[in-house]
This record gives sequence, C-alpha cells and structure tokens, in this order.
Amino acid sequence: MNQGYPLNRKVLIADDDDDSRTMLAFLLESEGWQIAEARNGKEALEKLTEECPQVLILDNRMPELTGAEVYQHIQQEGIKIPVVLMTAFSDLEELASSLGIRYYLPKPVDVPLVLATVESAYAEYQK
Amino acid sequence: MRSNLLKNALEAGRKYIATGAISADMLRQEIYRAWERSHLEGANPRTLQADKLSTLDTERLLERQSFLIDAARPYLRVLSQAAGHERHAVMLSEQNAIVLDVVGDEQSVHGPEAVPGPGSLLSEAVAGANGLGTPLAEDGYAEIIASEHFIQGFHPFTCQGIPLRNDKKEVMGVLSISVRRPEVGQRLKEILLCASHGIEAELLQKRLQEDVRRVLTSHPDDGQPLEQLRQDIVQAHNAGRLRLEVVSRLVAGNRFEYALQLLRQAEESIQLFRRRAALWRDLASLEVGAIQPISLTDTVRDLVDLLSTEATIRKIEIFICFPEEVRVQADRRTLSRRLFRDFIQAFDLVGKGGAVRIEIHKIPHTSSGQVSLIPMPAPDRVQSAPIPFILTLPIGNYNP
Repeated sequence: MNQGYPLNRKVLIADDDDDSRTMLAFLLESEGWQIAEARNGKEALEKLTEECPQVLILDNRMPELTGAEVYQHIQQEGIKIPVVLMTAFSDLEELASSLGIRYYLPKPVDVPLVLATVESAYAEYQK
Repeated sequence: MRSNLLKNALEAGRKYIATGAISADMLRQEIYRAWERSHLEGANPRTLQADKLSTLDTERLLERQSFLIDAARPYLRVLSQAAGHERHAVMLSEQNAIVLDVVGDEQSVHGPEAVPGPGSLLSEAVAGANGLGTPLAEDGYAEIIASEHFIQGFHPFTCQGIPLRNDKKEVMGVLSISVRRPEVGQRLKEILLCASHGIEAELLQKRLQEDVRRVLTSHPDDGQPLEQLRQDIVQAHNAGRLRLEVVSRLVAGNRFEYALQLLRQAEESIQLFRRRAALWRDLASLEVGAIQPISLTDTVRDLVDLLSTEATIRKIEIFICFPEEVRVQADRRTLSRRLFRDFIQAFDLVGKGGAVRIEIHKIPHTSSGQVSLIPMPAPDRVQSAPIPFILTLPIGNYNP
C-alpha cells in the first residue's frame, strides 16, 4: 500500500556488511523505498546500471572497489546520481570533500539522520 | 500476584508513615533494602516531587556530561519509540542519580504529572527508592513498581533502571524507563537492557575514535592498518544499533516474536563489538601487560576473527591448523601486537589471491609452544616462497 510516498523511488545500498545492509534495507523499505543491494564496489556499479536507483548509499571500505573508487568511476562515466557516503572512516569530512561528495554520514549511523539525508539526496535528484 | 504485591507495598507505606517502622514481610527483599537505605539517609516519604538543581547548575552539569548525553541519545529515542503510544518517559542520569535527559510522550515529559526533568536529584537519599537511585545503590538492574516507590509523588509510575559502565567498569550513569502501566514496563525490559549495553558500546566507540587519532601520530607504521581495523569493528556496532532501531519499530507495532529474535541478535552484535574493541585497544596501546598463562590458540583465533574483513578485502585466504590447544606464558598485549604485525606483513607478502597458513603446536621434547604464519603467495606473485613468521613461547601452566 502506498502510504503517501512517491511511487517507484529506489535506493541502492552498497555495503559489504550483510547485517547492516539488511537492517538498513528494512528501515528504508518501511519508509516507502524500493531497495537494491550490492555487497561490494564492483556489484554496486553493476546494480547501478541494472536497477537504475535514484539514490546510492555507499560504504567506503568494501572488497573489489572502495566507495571512493566507485564514486570516481561514476564521475568518469558521467552518471548523475546523488550519493550518500556512509562510513566509519575517521576523517569522513575530509574524505567526502576530497571526492566532492555532498552527503555523508558517520557509522554507527543515526537512523533519523539517515532517513532525512536520503530524502534530501532524492530531492536533489528530482531537481 | 502483582496486585497483592502492590497492596502490601501500599500498606507498608501507610504503616511506615504512621509508625516509622518498615515491614520487611510486606515488601520484596530488594525494595525492603531500598526503603531501609532511604529511611537511614533521611528521605521524606510524603514528598510529592523531587528536589532540583538551579537552572545555572543544571546547565553546567549538562555541559560536563555532554559525552554521556550524546552517547545515550539515540538509545533514549529508540526505547521511547518502542513504548509507542503508552504513557512513558525514558530517563538518563549521571553517576549520582541527577537527571540529565528525558524523552517520552508529551504528557509524561511536560504534563501536570510529569516525571522529574533535567537537574532533578533522584538519589535514594533525596528521593527514596526509585528507578534511578535504586539501581545505583543496588549496583544492578532494579524495578520499582508503583507504590513500591518510597515517596508518594512517584506512586503513579513503574520504573526500571540499570547502571551504565565505561570500559573500566566504572559507573557513568543510569538508564531508566518509567511507565504508567506495569505490564508495559515488562514488555520493554529486554530492550532497556540491550539499550544500556548499546550505550556502553557507544562510549567505547567514541573512545576508539580518540585512540585512533593518538595511534596515527604516535606509531604511524601501525596506524593505517589499525584505523582500517577500527572501521571493521565499528560495523558490528552499526549493525547492533540498526537492529535495535528495527526492534523498537516492531515492538511499537506489536510484532513481539520477530522483535525478540532480532533483539538477541542485536545483543550479540554489541557483545561482538565489545570483544573486538577490547582486542583493538590492546593492539593500539603501548602498555605492557603481566606475563601469565594464556591460550595461544584463542589469541590467534581472536586476531583472525578481527582481520577477517581485511582478508576478504585483500582476497587472502587464511588456513588454520590447530591440532590441540596450546597455552603459553606471555603478556597478552605484547603477543597480540607482535602477531598483528606478522599478519599484516604476511598479507603484504602474499598479495591478492594468496593465502596464509597458521600452525600452532607444542614442540616435542621441550616445554615450548610455537605459532607459525606461513605466507603462501598468489602463483604470479614471487618466485621463491617467503620465510614463515615463527614465534616460540614457553608453555604456561594453567588451571582453569
């Protein structure tokens, strides 16, 4: 049932930690999001093409490709998608600013902040 | 059963006010102890509300305790969310039972019969048996049901609380929940306990963040691998926090069975984080511990567990060959640090697609144990096999 959420909005969660990914998917699903999941950087790039999400939640420390590498690839390919960098990296602000990522959140995550940030990123996508 | 308990507590309260004597047979043992302490410390049972610090003193206190308040806030919110539409208040105090933060429904926090707000003094000496002062005095979880409260002003509430400890086991404060209906409190007990462990993990996590800054400057060689390891450890904490969030939503929606299952998993994630964090702090510390009998097998196993994400990212396989448990005489910290460095060097040597074989055994005809890390490089990596990392230690006599 649509509880007032826009239809067909989809977020891709790229995180190698199964527990964190599954729980975040559950929470976002209950906020009306469709979910696609990726367990490493390479899969994230594949799912980006296959699933066409409107927002990408990106962990940094992942097998195959790091979040930073995934982001750089997205930039090179000219893919327009807002990215929420979500990582336990100690100097997150510096990492995000060096990559030019506007949305970033430290782990462990504060759930209301995650939900609000993903909404902001989606709003940017719609502009 | 509960109604008898409450009738007896009410009667015990009447008698106490009339005669000054506490009826041991009419109260639960822990409540009797709490009333006795409250009496000896001079609490007034007729009091209707708690004493408070001045506004300025409260502001200063909140500033001093901001580390604990920040760590606890997500868990206060999660507990409150789990209580759903019930009248409730989740409270945090510092180590002397002075209230720091309150979250709950509008009526319970700001209504005419609101619970005591920030700056309120809830030690047993001031406010008698209650959900913040009693867990501190009892040094553990406590529940005070309605008329079991020593002062009359708290009778509408049923409160349960648990002390919060830092990594040195020192009490930092208390987390409590107050509800109007006792049966609601019972439903929230397991979440309260899990949330208290979550806050303790949060304090530890903040400490790790401070430690890593120190490590990056003091021993830069190990700094990078230790920082990456810290990130892997935080994943377990992240999973625990997310699970608790899901649990609170499920409980609010009356989906108790699945919630309980997830709650157990959340607790496991938190405990996993604590074990890994303790080992990480040993690795990051410069301190030397005491030489004592320790399990070499368990020490290596814990390190392998800690390095599992690093190994996955580097695509390195770890083979373990422990035919028997080996106990040695060693300082756990120094041994862990040495093994950690050997592991990182072995990982660097074997490269992507390589493997590390770990062997632990007692050396025949000697009183020594040995651990060997044998690098097995990827086929295209090197021409000759690298030399294994071998560590020999005296066998420890250990009586479990």
